[in-house]
Amino acid sequence: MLRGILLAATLTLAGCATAGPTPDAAAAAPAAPPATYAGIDAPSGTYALDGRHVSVSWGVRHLGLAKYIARFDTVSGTLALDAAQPTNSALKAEIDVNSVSTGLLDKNGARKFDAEVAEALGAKAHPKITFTSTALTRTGPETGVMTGDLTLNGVTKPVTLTVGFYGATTHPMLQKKALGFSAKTVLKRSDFGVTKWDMFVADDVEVNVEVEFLQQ
Amino acid sequence: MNRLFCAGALALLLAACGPPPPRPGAPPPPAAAVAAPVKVDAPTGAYTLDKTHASLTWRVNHMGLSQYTARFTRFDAQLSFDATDPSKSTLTATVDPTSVETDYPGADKDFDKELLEPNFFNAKTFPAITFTSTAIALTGANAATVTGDLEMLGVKKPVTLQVTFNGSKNPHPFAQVPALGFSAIGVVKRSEFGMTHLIGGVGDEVEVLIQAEFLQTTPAIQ
Repeated sequence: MLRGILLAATLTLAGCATAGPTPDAAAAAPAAPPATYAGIDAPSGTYALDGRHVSVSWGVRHLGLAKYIARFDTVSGTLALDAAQPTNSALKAEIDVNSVSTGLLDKNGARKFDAEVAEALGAKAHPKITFTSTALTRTGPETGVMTGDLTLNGVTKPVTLTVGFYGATTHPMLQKKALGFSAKTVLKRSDFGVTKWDMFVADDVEVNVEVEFLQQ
Repeated sequence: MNRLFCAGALALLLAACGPPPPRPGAPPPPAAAVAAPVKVDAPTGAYTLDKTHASLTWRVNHMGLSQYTARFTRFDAQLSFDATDPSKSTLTATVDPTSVETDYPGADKDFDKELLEPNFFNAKTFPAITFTSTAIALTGANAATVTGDLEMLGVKKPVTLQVTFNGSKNPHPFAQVPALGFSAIGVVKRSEFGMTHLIGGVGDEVEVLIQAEFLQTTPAIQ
């Protein structure tokens, strides 16, 4: 109680020490320093991307009419989690370009169009898309921004993902910790030398990731 | 899309400039009218889904950890489009549940097949999921809500889709007929249709994400 009064008095004195700001100036005063957010309730260590609970889908506008949506089916990755300081965590992920799946079959039921898209993405010379995180900042208790190097079609460029953290839970069947995230970005395919169909397909590619990781 | 967006923003700005400020004590102004629909460069008539440029994705929460994402790849839709009053348009759609694709990577099971069993889509007994619009309300220059009856697992319930009109092409450069493009999102509570299996670990609310291009119906397209 006494300490409370002393603290209040100190604050009052501190308020008097400098010329009191006008109400408007007070409103415009710089925001408080960035908040620190709690760690993650899961052990630090290596987590493997759960290939059964991941989707990497992408959409690209077609003729200004609708987004053409497709996905990659074969994705793997490793998350090195620092639970106390999540921003020190690191992610490596790999996508098999030939696993691209548009859902569109030709008249004979063959995935001919998927093969054309894979070729447009440079699958022959560069069968893997890779992502290696370089920095992670937190923007809220469950949100963050992850920057990393994306290699696609043999070209490496930095990309920034907006990340959401759904939470950590103990997987009921595997009895391991599981972590869940979403991630989004928009990248320009021309930055990676992917320009096929650019007469009627937009340059911006929206990427949406939903992913779970399992403790190793 | 940018042009549409600008048109929408411009309409909003103009609307903001429109009425004079109300006098004190005056009755409150009527609710703001919906922005005038954007111009559509496609005539009234029958349109058929361009199945090569359409997607039907669904997402459902998995253990609170992610939005499990899958899709149907065989579906069709017919749009009776009213260019003068788009709210008078009607839409019917049908989905083949056996076209569900989860892209499950494990060799341990065929998860797509599991989803066709009686616990889930019960596809042998109910070989089609259908949607028939019942009301369309314009909510913005290029936005509308489309309410309709969704029939799944023998249960018919109303579902509302939030639809965005993305644009039109007249003619479509390849099909050489007028074309319309839409995006739509909706939420279906699967328990309302009797699909309650694994609710808890797997969410009840299923997000539905649609991208669809339509081509004016011609004998070749139909």
